[in-house]
Amino acid sequence: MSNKNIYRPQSKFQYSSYLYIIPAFVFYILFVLFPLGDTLYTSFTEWNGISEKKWVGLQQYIDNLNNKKITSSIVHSFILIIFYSFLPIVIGLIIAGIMIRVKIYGLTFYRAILFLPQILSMIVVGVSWRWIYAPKGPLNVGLDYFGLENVSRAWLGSFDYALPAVGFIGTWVMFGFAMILFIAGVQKIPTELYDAAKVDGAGAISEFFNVTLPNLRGEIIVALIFTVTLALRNFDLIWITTGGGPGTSTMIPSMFIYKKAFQQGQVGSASSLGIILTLLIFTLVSLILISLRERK
Amino acid sequence: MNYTKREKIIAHTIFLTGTFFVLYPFVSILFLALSEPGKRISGFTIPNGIYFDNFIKAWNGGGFDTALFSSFVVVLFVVGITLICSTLAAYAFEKLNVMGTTLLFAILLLGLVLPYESIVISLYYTMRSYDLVNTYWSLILPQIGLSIPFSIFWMRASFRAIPNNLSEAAMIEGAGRWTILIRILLPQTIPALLTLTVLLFMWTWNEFLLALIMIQDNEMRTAPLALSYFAGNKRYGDPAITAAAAVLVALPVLIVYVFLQRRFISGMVTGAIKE
Amino acid sequence: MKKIVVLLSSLIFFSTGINAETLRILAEAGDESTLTRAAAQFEAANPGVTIDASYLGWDDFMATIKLKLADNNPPDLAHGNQGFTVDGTLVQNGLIISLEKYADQYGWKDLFADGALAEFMWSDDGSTWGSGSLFGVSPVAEDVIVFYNKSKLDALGLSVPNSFEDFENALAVSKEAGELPIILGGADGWPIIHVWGIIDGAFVDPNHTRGWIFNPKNFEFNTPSRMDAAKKLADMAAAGYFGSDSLGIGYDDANAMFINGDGVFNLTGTWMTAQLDEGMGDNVGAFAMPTSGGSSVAGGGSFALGWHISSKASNPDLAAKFLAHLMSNDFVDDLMEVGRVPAQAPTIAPTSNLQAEVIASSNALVGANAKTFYTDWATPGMYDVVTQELQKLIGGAASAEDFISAMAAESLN
Repeated sequence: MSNKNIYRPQSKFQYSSYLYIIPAFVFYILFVLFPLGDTLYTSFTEWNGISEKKWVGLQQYIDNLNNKKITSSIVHSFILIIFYSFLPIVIGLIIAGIMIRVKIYGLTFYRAILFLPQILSMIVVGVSWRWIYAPKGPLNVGLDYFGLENVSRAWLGSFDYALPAVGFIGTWVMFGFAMILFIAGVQKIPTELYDAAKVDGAGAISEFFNVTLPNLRGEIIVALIFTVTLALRNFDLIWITTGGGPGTSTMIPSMFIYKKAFQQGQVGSASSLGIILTLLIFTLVSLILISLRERK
Repeated sequence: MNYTKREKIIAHTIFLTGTFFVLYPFVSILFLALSEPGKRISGFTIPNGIYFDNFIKAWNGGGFDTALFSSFVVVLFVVGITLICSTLAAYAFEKLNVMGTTLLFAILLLGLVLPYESIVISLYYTMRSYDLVNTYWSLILPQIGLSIPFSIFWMRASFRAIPNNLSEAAMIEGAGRWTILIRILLPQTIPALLTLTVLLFMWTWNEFLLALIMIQDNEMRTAPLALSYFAGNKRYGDPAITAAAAVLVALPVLIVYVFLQRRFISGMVTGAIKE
Repeated sequence: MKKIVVLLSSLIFFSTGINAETLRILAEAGDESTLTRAAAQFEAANPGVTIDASYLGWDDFMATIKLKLADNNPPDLAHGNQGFTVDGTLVQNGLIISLEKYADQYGWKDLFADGALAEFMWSDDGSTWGSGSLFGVSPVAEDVIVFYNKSKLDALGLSVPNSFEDFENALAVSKEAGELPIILGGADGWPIIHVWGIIDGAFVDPNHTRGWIFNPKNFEFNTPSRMDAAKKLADMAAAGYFGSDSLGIGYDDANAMFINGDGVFNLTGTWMTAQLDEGMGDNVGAFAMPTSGGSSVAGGGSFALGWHISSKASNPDLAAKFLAHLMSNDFVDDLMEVGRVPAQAPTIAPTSNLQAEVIASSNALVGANAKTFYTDWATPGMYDVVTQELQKLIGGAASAEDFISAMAAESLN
């Protein structure tokens, strides 16, 4: 070590510094990257999990994408995106927009409550909502009480309403998160911007679109990515509420992956579906990032 | 800022509505769980007394004692090992001027967005070939791997926020990289570590799909898995008992949340953005 | 904790030279009372042997049994399910062993008529079903029949129907009177398979149905009489005979509701006998569904879930010995007492009115050679396909023609 050197703010680079990184990357490579590669390879084969893998090229992809049940499951996921992502974000934004004008006492308390759905296991959430949606559960009994008997029904057993019903559970889980995210973001917006807008004669709505929204760009991106990926994955909730039924009206790709791999012994097909799902998520995330990026 | 009384009322109404909407399912389930055993409950009924019988039946019938224990073991190892590995790596990335960080980050980014439902199949067969299926390791090892990207990014942001004067001073005095990390930087990252612990605890505790696939032995089930099987084996037909079981599974995370909720929320919110 | 105790106790046994063995059994939850009894008797007769039995609800069982048997440390003895979905896959992947030598040793084949055990016979590679080696066995018969609420039937001025048309009439009368004609737990999907099995049996020749189940590629699913059956089911659903909520109610909830007084008829299996007996006593009766025209009876039915010995069992002989106990003459009366229908003739009288009627129905089906097994057995993917298509049929989301063509398509797999 020489005192003659000007000390850079950071250590001199040494190869042994890599030792600090190795443990983390060992786990990451072994249990994330390697399985990803393995899944990719398997997706080009036909395999029942026991005997030899048989190379079939793109056949699994072709079969999956031609399979109406599979493509509708992807459509179902997109429908869920509306409930898991758009609704909570819109609700969160509107509320955050209102928030800028008011100082709330007890915000900490509200925050703590609103965040609760996020911390629960989806299995717990699913079990609870299964009860709420039950034919004689709180929702239907409540509807009957208010004279809306013809609305009450077996929600999770209805071909038309099961998917929105599950989607609504997602809204319940997500909206508190979105709200908190946006309120925190809004509180970071300097008040000068609002004062300037007011001087220009802007009303509440204009304020919202010209000041609030643009400054929440980062938070919106985060919320979108987080909620969209959840909507596309979502195994736990569907498993415990409808199992994909009735019929196939709530089937989603991740459910098909499980069934194909572990119940029907079509591991190659399941792997290809897994890769399709991954590519879908990557594409959507990239789209979100690209279209919402700052354009300076 | 001008705020009129009317706006305040509107805001409070909105929050109260939101709170009601969030709490309704919780309270509904709680009431169901506390209700008189054997009574057929419908709708939202306030129990006429507090009965813990359902909880006892759930505890005994669902093997939740071993399930909670299994969950704790898994969480302990995942959180512990992830914290160590990710702190070391984040330190190297941020403070040790390692080459190729951009590339390594890009690789980590992949893991952040990857849906692990795609890779569980491969994980299962790998674990099986090493005879690790049905062991805690089959749950611990993959979850460490899956938690690494977020944890590294999190800790790196934390290290970045620490000014360099202290470590520079230490370097002048001849302190090595390790000493600087342990003596100087780590104490300053304790809040971040705590928040990360809380987040990892929650995500690992709630993990379901991995357990469904890896664990076939009912002695090794983690809590959410035990709950799912319990709700499925409806010989315990009563929804009230299932509700009690759900409460049991949610309780540990709820308790940690009550005490550390600031950390939870700030963790998820700020961490997500730093991403 | 329990593991430590077991470990220590087996160490102790080793050191004293006594053979301590644990037999691990995985069963579907319906067999809990049967197994508890059998285990107690077996442990008493075989000191040093412990039975460790665990149970899964039906849905979880179907979703995970193959995974569990493919495990590196599977249970020694486990339930399967006849047909290609479960048993066939187990045989194909070498997960269970042939029971031929035990069948010879214990004489299981002599207990039943020739060919009765066909549903457990597979070729060694699992490609052919119905002949080959014996891979499973069961002491219990399970049939799909009609349970009914006696007081309701009386109140409606009806009696046990003599023909399927009679039954339909009873449904119409019930609905008129404001009762729920048939309680159905459609949310789980598979209970509809049983309803379908009954209606299918009322119109289609059982030999044809059985032929199709064993050999779906070569037997036509789409026949005129089967189309009649499908249309009949669709009509029944459209007429509201299952109620408007049937797809939202789970199987166990539906049974709980039936016991509580909802629904006149419950079309399900004899495995429910003990539970219905306990809940309804003399208020519940049973009959085998008469066919269209009333000349015979029909319904799904077969042996109960078969027992299999895992290929990785450490002591298959011990497992077989336990099976022998289950299959033995001594155990038949025990089966009666826990409310099951034994496959062999019992010596004691039925323990309740319901059981008497159930056994009479079962005998009627045997006499008419009209047990038609279960539709989901036919192909590896059939279980999922038939539950989904039946849900659509009941829910009005698909027509009878859609149902038939979907089933015919799956038959070719």
